[in-house]
Amino acid sequence: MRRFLVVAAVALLFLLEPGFAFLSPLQLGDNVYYFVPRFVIVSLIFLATFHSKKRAILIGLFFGVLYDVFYINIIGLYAFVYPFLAFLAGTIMRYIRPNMIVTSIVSLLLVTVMEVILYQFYHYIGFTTMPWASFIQHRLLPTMLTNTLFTILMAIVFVYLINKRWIRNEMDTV
Amino acid sequence: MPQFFTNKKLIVLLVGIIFLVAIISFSLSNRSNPTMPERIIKDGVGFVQNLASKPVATVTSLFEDLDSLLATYDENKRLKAQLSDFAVTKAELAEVKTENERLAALIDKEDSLIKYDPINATVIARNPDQWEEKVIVNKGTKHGVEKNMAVMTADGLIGKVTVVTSHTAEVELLFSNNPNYRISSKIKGDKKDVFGLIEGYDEERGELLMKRIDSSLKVEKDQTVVSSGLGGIFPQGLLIGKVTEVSTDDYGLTKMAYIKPAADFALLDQVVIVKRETTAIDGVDGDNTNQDLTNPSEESESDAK
Repeated sequence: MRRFLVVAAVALLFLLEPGFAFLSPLQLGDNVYYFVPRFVIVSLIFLATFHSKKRAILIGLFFGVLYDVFYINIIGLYAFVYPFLAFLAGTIMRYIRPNMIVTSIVSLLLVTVMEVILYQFYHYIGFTTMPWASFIQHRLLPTMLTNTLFTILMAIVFVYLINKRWIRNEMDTV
Repeated sequence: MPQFFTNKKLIVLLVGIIFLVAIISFSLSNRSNPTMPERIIKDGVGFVQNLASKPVATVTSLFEDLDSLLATYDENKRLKAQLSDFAVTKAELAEVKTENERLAALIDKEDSLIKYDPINATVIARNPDQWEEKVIVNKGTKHGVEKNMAVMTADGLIGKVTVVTSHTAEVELLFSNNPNYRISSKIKGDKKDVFGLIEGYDEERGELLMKRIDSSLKVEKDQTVVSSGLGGIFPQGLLIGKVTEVSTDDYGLTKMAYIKPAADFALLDQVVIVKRETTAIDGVDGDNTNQDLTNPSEESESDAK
């Protein structure tokens, strides 16, 4: 039952992402800023930390494939990035003792890593000709701003869930 | 300290990477149509996304309403000024239209590149990672949508259909650096129209590039750009934008113009997919195969030869 609830929650975030993408890009003066919602990966990193690494990887693979087929038409891009980052998050958290602040910072770092991987990939295959400086100013910083807000929200939700003992904090046993 | 990778994991990882590279290179190769499982996933996710987009659309339209409410006063002033012109133009247009019909009947001309069937569609999702500018709409082959058709809003052309399944279609917006993305268009002159191709997009200026304009012809700033209909798929006369600057092409042989698009690309929700009434040929607007799209029987015959 709990397993289905977790999948349903991630599915809801997956469906919300394009809704937020409607509000972007934002044009301020001469500059265009892209706010990319990364709700799914942030929730996967939290799940890998506080719930189950293996389950986070599997859910990541599933939604990665959906994302690739429905939006990108390059199969294997998100289907690789989502599980990879979930795996990385779970592995990192085994070596440091995670609390909410550490997890939030690590998840923001991992989202940055993901943005850079995707930028490099798209640059390599010639989808974009955007230079580094412009990528950091117009895409990375606004995106990280959005996701910082979302990560704070996610941390609050997880504190609530752990206090209610809805999600077993497996990290305490390691 | 636990071992980072066990042997079994290492094998899984290696097989995974090989599979990954294979599948990425497969999907990057020039595929014309999505495969069967892709179509099933696209239609399935599209159905759910269609339901989920409704509450989201309500919220975004609330923003839009608020925005337009704030601009009401200025807009009202501007519109009042335009209204008197409008009445005169409308009367003139009606007269010209009837005359045109009469003249067309006189010479037995039935087809016109301008005529088209509109298919109204709702945007159900916008690619959230926003690297490739595209939107997904809720109409597909079931509703008569085909690949490479023009897509517009009330303000002007916004893009064309790149992938179509039975219930969804993907629209690639004009802001594209895809080298195969071309639109045959023309600049409306006072006496003579100037033809060229929209291809490419200047990321820094946020404007489209119109290339291959004959350098002997004169192009000025603020002239309107519309689709020419000579590319085979788009109808004639869809508004694209305005010329902002004219310069020479990379090789100095032809002119190049920067075009500011007329349509607003933020907050797209309702779009119109345009199906032209005359015979469609897969020309410059499409993949340049020069096949007859409207009469597929002839095409298969020519293939047999």
